[in-house]
This record gives sequence, C-alpha cells and structure tokens, in this order.
Amino acid sequence: MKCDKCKKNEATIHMKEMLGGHDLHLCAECADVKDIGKLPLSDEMMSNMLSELTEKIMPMLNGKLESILPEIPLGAKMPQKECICGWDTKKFQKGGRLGCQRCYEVFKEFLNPALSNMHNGTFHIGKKVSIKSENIDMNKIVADIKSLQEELQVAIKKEIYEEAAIIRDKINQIKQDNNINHA
Amino acid sequence: MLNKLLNQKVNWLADSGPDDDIAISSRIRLARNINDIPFPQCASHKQLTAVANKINLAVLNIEELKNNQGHFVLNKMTPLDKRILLERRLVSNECLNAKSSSEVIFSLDEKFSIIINEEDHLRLQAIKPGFQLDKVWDIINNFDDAIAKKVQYAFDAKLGFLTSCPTNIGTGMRASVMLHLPALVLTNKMKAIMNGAFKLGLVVRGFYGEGSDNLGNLFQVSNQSTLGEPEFEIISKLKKVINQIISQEKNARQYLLENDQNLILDNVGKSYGRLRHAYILTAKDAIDGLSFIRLGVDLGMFSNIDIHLVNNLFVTIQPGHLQKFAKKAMSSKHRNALRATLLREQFAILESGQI
Ligand SMILES: [Zn+2]
Ligand SMILES: [Zn+2]
Repeated sequence: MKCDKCKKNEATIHMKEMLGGHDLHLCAECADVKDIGKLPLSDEMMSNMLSELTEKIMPMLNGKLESILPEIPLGAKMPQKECICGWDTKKFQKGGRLGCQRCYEVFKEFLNPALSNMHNGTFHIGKKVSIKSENIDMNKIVADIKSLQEELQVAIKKEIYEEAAIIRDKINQIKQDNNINHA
Repeated sequence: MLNKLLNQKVNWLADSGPDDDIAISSRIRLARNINDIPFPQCASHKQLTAVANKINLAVLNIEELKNNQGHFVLNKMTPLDKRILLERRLVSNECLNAKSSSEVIFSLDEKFSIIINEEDHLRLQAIKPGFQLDKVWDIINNFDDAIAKKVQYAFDAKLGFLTSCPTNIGTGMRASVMLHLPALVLTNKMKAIMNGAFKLGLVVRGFYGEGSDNLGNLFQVSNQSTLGEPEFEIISKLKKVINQIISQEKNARQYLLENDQNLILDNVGKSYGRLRHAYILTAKDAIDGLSFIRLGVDLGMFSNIDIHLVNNLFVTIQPGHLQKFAKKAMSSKHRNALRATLLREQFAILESGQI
C-alpha cells in the first residue's frame, strides 16, 4: 500500500482516526513530519489533542460556527452556494445557522467536516421518526378518522380555518383510500 | 395567568428530588422542526403561523397539557413578563427578542414547556428537581412521541432530526443538570473538573451562562455532541460524570470540614450576616450569599431552614420577580434595596422560629 501523503513510498504506519472517518496510511518519512512517529499515543499527546479539540468547541458555545470553520475553506475560498429557501453561504457564515432542511445537502461540502468536529460521530443512531405503516387495520382507520374529526371540531372552534380545511381534506382522503362512504 | 405563576413556588426548585443537596434540577430539551417548512429565521410569517397552529393542535392530544396549560404569545408580552418566564427557566434567553409568531406553552406545574418558533419550530423541555435524568427523558420522550403522531418532523436517516443550528442535529437533545458546588469552588477544583468534563465531550457552564462563571457556585453540566450517539448513551455518560462530580463535591466538603472548617464557617457565617442585616444587595450578592446558606443547611448548620425555601429564593430575588412583587418597574438601586428588605425579613422570620 502506498503512502497517503507522498503517494510514493510504501506505507508502514497505519493510524485509526480518532473521530471517525477514514484510516490514515503513511510512510515513515511522512509520519515523522506529522509527528506521529512515536505511536502509540502518549498520555501527553492525547491531552494535547483533547485540549485542541476543546478549544475548537469552546467558542462554539456561543452558537457560532466561525471559530471552527477556519479549519475548512472560509471566506473567499468557501464556495458560494444558495439553497432554494433563499439561504446562502454568506448567511450561513454569519450566524452558523441554516435556512431549511435542504440546506444540509446544499452546504454539505463545508458542513460535513464541521459536523465531525462538533459531534462525537457523523451518523445519527438515536431515536427515529416512525414512518406510518401501511397495514390495513380497519379499527385503526376508524379510530384515526374519529380523532381527526375531533381535531376538526377544535380547529373550527378555534377559528383556525386553514388548518380545518387541511384536516377535512385528510379525512376525505383516508375515506377515499379505504372506500369508506361519506357519512 | 402570570399571576398564577408568581403565586406558586417554582416546582422544580421547591420539591424534593434524588441527590438534591447537590443536584438542584435535571432538564432535557429536544429541538424539532416540521418537515418541508423553512426554519424560523428563514420562514415567512405565514409559514410560521401555520407551524404555530399545527403545534397548538398537536398539543391538544397531550393529556397532561389539556386542562392544565399556560399559553403565551411572546411578542405580546411586556419585557418584564418575559423576564419572569426566563427567570423560571420556562423560556430561553433568545425568547426575549421573540418573533411575532413565537409562543410558549407550558404545564401549570412548570415541569414541561414547548417553545414555538424560536431558533427551531419546536423546543420541548422537561425539568424535574434533583438528579433524575432518566425520569425526565421518559417524560419528554412520551411528549415527543405524542406530537410526532400529529406532525411530520424534519428528519434525515443519516443526520437524524434536522435543526436550524448544526450543533443540535441528530438527537436534537441537550440534557443538563444544575449542580451546587461550593466546596469544589472553595478548594479551587472547578477548573480541573471543567477540563475533565470537556475531554469527555461535556460542557460545564456557570449559572445562566452570564459573565462570572461561579455565580452562586452553581454550574450546569450538559452534553455538547448530539450526533453519533443514541440518547440513552449520552444520558448515561452524563450520569456517570455527574455522579463523579457529586462525589467529588462531597469529598471536598468532608475535606474542608476536617482540615479547614473555619473556611466553611466563615463563608456561611458572613453570608448569613449579610443577608440577615444588609440594606443593599445586588442579585450577585444575594445569589452568592444564598449559595453559602444552602451549603450551611446541607451541613446541618441551620436546623430551622428548609433547603427548598432557599432554592426558591434564588428565583424570587431576581430582577423580574422583584418588580412583579412590587407591582412596578424599578431601577436597580430600588431593586437592590427591596431585595435586601425581603431577605432580611425572610431570615428574621426564620430566626424567630415561626416557620
Ligand atoms: Zn509518504
Ligand atoms: Zn435551505
């Protein structure tokens, strides 16, 4: 296997990256430059690494991204992108926030490296949103319609007519899908 | 509605909970957004109104909130009224500059609240006295499920719950415990503790996150990372670290009692003297003083003072609550005088043993 850095010498040092991501394969020469010749990591190096990481995280407590972004192309080098929601690179850089859920795809090039700096992983493994199952259970459908009808009443009572119309359409849709006559 | 709040004690401070000598309260908040609607700072007024309506309807399905609900539209409130909600930790700092469509819904016992259209469409928050993150998680998880039945959340298989700020994606969960750590402060251990917690991906912050980080020796420990670990793992890591901090605080108290008792006695004694006899007290003076009274109560130095009464005083001596008590806006000079009077009277009553 060739060295990742010089792509010339044979890689003799194989490192597992600590924060997820890919492994690093280096030749002795390049490894020395990177100061990882002394593997395994000593306690001291470890604490240095951790404090570096901490310094990156610290300024973010104020909800700002800039402080970790310099590691990643910033300013002129940061590609100008715009999402259909109207959010662009400038706005993102300014407040460190996004405009809509699609922005995560639009800005992923510089967002993804930042994510791995702020979090302990890059992949969500917690609670999930259950996608409503398509099993046809008549009792459940009837119960659903009933609860929607209750909601409809509330919406009307509260004079939220826009929402009421949506609920009414939803009820009609469910009835139609399941061949229930309008009663 | 607000008067009702003011006339009741802050439940998460006034009730008992496990380990509540050192752990004051446990809180979890979840950040959620509705699918296919831009995040609040990028959405139109119409879209945000639709969000608020949807959530108001979804909340009707939550038993605990049905007949027992407080509800405010934030930009229709006076700054002082908003401050009251902040001081009771029902809303966050950002709500003080709320958008026109920002609302807060909360259970009247103040243990659960939903903030609509602040940084995210939805912020669910549950809070309980003492150290009980698992219980708080159960509560908030159920509320979250109930709402998810009625609204479709913005969710991505890889990135989890999508939030306005990338620091919250994944679980969208921030779990925190407020700790009272006077002995660790007195023995200069807080810096090491903070660094140690940082290394584990946790954050230790001073109370309310304002300037001075040892205001009242109160600290909030919370998770920083929200992506890459499941909720239970984040919570269990937090619990392990907090258990360690609690036992360190106990050790430090023991150490001081054995080796430097005068340092404790001096701090508690001076604080009592100050709160009992002062005529001018800033919020910081009062909170720092109450902190040592609290330590004194924990160590058995004041048999006639209930710790939950002291906890509640931490909130009632804050600027918003004071002005509501006085039923008028007050300059800081007048607030400092009123604060001192209230505390003098409170401790005079306690001294005479009438409570
Ligand atoms: Zn090489
Ligand atoms: Zn967008």
